[in-house]
Formats: sequence, structure tokens, C-alpha cells
Amino acid sequence: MIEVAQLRKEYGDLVAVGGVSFTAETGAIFGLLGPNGAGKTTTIGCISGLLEPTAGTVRVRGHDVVREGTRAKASLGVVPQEIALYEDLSAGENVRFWGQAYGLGGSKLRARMTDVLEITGLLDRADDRVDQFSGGMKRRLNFACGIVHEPQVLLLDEPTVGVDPQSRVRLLDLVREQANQGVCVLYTTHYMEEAQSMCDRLAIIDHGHIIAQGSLEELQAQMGERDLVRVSGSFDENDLRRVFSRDEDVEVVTVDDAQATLSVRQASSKLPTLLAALTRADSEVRDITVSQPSLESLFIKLTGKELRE
Amino acid sequence: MLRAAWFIARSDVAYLLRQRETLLWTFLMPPVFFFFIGSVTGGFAGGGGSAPSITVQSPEDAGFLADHVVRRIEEQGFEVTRSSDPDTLAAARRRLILPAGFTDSVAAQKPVKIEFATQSDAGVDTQYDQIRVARAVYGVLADVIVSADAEGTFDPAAIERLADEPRPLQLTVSQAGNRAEIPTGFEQSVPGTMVMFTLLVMLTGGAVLLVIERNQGLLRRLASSPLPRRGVVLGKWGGRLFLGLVQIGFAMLVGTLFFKIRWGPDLPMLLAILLTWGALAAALGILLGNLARTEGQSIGLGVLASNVLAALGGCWWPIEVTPQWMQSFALTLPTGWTMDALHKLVNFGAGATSVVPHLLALVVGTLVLGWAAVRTFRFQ
Repeated sequence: MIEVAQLRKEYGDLVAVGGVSFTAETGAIFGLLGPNGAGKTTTIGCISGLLEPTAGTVRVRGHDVVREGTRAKASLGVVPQEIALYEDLSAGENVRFWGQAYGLGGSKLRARMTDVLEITGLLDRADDRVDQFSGGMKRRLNFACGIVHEPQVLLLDEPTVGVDPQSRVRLLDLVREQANQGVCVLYTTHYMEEAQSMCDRLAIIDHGHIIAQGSLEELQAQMGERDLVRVSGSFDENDLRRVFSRDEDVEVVTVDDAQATLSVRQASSKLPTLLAALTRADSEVRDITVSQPSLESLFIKLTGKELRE
Repeated sequence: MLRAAWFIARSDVAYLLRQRETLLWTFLMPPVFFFFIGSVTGGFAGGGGSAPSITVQSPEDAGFLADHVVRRIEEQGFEVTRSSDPDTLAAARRRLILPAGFTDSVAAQKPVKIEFATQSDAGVDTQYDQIRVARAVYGVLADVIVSADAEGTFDPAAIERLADEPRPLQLTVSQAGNRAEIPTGFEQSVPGTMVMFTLLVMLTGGAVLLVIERNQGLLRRLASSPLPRRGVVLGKWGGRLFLGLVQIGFAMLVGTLFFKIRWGPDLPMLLAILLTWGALAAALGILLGNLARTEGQSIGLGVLASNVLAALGGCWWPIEVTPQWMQSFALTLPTGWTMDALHKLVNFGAGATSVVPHLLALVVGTLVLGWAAVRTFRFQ
């Protein structure tokens, strides 16, 4: 289990993480969802003991990562965002190195090397140098190195970035398998679909702050029955807000000269009314898109911006 | 912490020894440089393995006694070349000029003047040359006197007989310790190249690995492992030190077997000097790896720093042949401390106590650089 309480990390005047709190449970996947630069990697860095928090506490299986760093780290497995591998060593040598770094040796290490290379589909390439691998294979090996010591808590920092679809599916299966085996998994991503399909609980993070957290159902409930309507064209913000100010079914989320985003209850049935109102607001509509309630629409509703790579 | 350090050091050594660059600059290039630089610098200060050369100007009418002078000079260990060409004589490191009618003048008991000149006018080596030439000339004079006394006259046959006779009284002169002869040839190139390449490998290969590990997130990942950070840093230093010692050991072996280098009577002190040199170079390698942001930076800075330190510290040429200010400046550099200590121990027979200040300077330098390396070590 990971317990993060009021975690804060500052770099001079820059607040990378500002008072984050959440709990990731054993045998479940906790997702940290947010755009690049939101503070996900900094949070992972604090949990893994790489960074010392400016304030707040992080406990891994009851051990404070600052005061009991070695104990806390011993149960942690980290799969970093970058491919942290020795490119001119073989896959097997990389796994052995990271296994030894976590204290494994002898027959136990050999058995685990075989296990993790097999489950990641790299056993037949164990003797090949990593620089001959594809991006997807490197990602899988990166994962294998993170679990070789059978960690009870697994930190995955955007593990599928730049991975081909086939390898992504395989990686996601491996992550789910870890959770099923009782491992507490903390999973950061900026892919909405991954977060929706993988995570048992989620926290949405932006600008170093958690803006929403709960199960997928709880988060979607925050959107209510409202759809997200994106309209492209030309708009006058004051006119638009005035037209919809008395309509309880429509909420203006964002608006600028070229695009407006509206949160609309049962949008598909209200489209003619919406278009008429937009015309009254002297708006020119060129394109209109309706999205079902999702994490993405929630993110837009909460932050006023889209979650992009 | 020590277990972590041992693990990291072992892994780094194994990794570095698999790199082609490391193998090239640790095992292949040093012997090449031993040979190349040793051959080129063999003439410095007239020392080295071959006999010192002397050019003799002997006019055609100098007579048989001129040949006898040459013979006596050769017996003093000189390699004699005869020439009458003014340019050749002017360029000669040592030249001996016999006067015209030399033998006839001696036979007529007239005073003759033999001129001996060297390119350098001062120093122990020049004085030694003068003594040996003087001994040769006095030997010829003695031969003439004895021959004339015994046979009433002297002729080539009489001089020849006298020269071949065993001497009833012989004076054997041996050196009390090593002469302070400036090391040249392989005596200079083997230790100089060894010191330079140890630094070069530490400042390039050792630093580059650290930069790669940092840029690829390997150090971040290590920092997230249960290995104590101090153990990781100690291991990084220890691995490089071990590699440096392997390099030094190999250089000494090759120097001994193929270049006939004798490492002097104070081997424990010599090894202590080289151990601290390796430790200092390893710390410098870590420090450079901390300061460089890219592989290109670390290689560029490493090559530049190691070459400048090597040249100014006396690795490329014997620092004793440079001006006094340069010799003094060399003693402010770690390469200078090391090379001066090696010259004292290996070439000058100065004794272990004479290099204690050098050893202390290297230890202090290692501690200062090690402290700076620890302070600046970055895991990301």
C-alpha cells in the first residue's frame, strides 16, 4: 500500500507538486492521470525515494520513504518513463544487474530472470544486446527489470509511451497480472483510454494538484448526464455566456474566438436548440462535436483544457 | 554500504572492460606510445639506452696517434664518428677536434691543443663527458710516455702492443647510486605514457559512462533501489580505481618485459605513488562525469584536460629538459607530482623518503577531488 499525504515538492519558486494526497491499495491499480508537466513523475520520484519531498509524507507498506528509505525501497519496483537499460548489454545481463541491485543472487536470481523474460516474451532474446531491440521490446524489458525482484509495490511511470499497439496490449496485460497477484500498482499516464481501462481508482492531477479522485464510476458521476459539445467557428464570449446564462442544461466550459466548449445535458436531443441559441449570440458555427461523458470530458470540465500528449 | 559499493564497482569494471574504447586505450595504445614516444625521445639530453655519440675531426696528416685517441675514447663508452664537414661538426652534440700534424707535433715534443666541445655547457652530464674525454687523452699521453721510455721512441706497433697489454694497475669506478641522468627513451615514455593514459581513460571512458547512465535514467533507477547512495558513489569511484590499477599493472608488465624498464629499488613506494595516482585520476573522472552534460562534452573535456595535464606535468617529455619555470609549474600539477616521484624513484635512485611530499600531495589531491566528486554527484 502507498499512502501519500500532503506531498509537496518545490524547486525554488516552482511548485512541481502542491499538497497531493492519495492512497493506493494492495492488489489494485491506482492511476495518476494528467498531462505532461502535471507533476506525475515528480510524485513518482518522491514515492521512489529519488526526490526528497519539501513537505508531506509518503509511506510504502508502512515505511516512511525519507526516514526508512532502504526498507521502503526494498519492496518497491520502479519502471521509469525512460528506457533505463544498458543498451550494449544483453537483455539477460540487464535483468541480472537490476536483480542484483535489489539483493537477488544465485539460483533465485536465475529462476526470476527466466520467469520475467518469459512473461515479457523475451526469453528467446535473452542473449541479444538491447540496442538491437525494437522500442516495444525495450519497454517490455524495462518492465521485466522492474519486477525481477517480485516487488510488492510497483510504480509505473508512463510505461507505454512510444510503444506499438501489440506491445502496449501485452504490457497492459502484464500490469493487470501484477495487480491480480496482489501487487499494489501506481500507474501514471496521460492516455485517457489506458486510465479508463486499467485503473481501479484514479486521481486526476494538473499543475501539481489533484483535482479529482475516486473510482472510474465516481469520477464519471461528476459529469452527471452531461455531454461535452465542442463547437468551432467564431464567437463573442460575452454574447455566448449571456445567451446560455439562464439555461440550466447548458454550461459554458471554455470559449475563445475560434472555439467553444459546452457541457450539455442530453446534448443529442438539444442540438437544434443549441444551434438556435448560438445564432442568437451572433456566433458562426462551422463544426460541432458531441462527446459522451468520459474522463476526458471531466478533465476538460475541471481544467478548461484538453488532455494532450 | 560496502556491499553496494562492491556490487557497483564490479559491475562498472565488467562493463568498461567490454567497451572497445576502453580496451583500445588501456591495453593496445599504451605499448604503441611506449615504443613511438620512446624511440622519438631517445636522444633527449644524450641519455637513453645507446652509447653517447662524439664526432671527431681528424685531419689527414694527424697521424696514427689520432687513431689511438679514437680508440681510447671508444673505450670510454663513446660511439665515435669521424667527419671533417663543418656542418656535421657544428650539429654534433659532442665534438673533438685534433690539430693538423698531431702525431708529428707530439713526436717533436711540441705542445698540441685538442679541442672538446659540447652543445650544452652545464650540467652533470657535460661534466661527465669532459672527464671521460680527458681520461682518454691522458691515457694516450701515458701510452706515449711509457712507449718512449721503454723503447726510446714510439711508433704504431709499439703503441699497439702497449694498448693490448693488460694494465698492472686498474682503476674501477662505479656509480654511488644512480647518476641524476635525465630519463630518455623508454625510461621516459613508459612511465609518462602510463600516467597519461590512466588519466585519459578515467577522464573519457570513466566520465562518459557516468553521463550515459545519467542521461538514460540508469542512475535515477539506481537511486530508487535499496542500494545506499553513498555506496553507489563509492562503487563508481572504486570501479574506476580498479580499472586504473589494471591499466598501470599492465603498463608496468609490458614496460618490464618488452622495454627493459627497471622500476628502481623502492617498489613499495613506487606502487604507493601509482595507487594514489590511480585514486586521484578516478576521482577526477567522476568529477568530470558530474560536470559534463553530454557524452561529447565529457570526451572533449577529458581529452583536453588529460593532454594538457600530461604535457605540463612531464608525461610527454622529461620535464628536466624544460625551462626552470616550467619545471616549477609542473610541481603544482598532479601529473607533475607523479612524474617527478617516478623519476626520483626509478631514475635517480633518490630513495623512498624523497617522494613522501609527492605521496602526501597526491593523497590530499585525491581527498579534495573525491570530496568535490561526492558533493557534485547527480543521480539525475
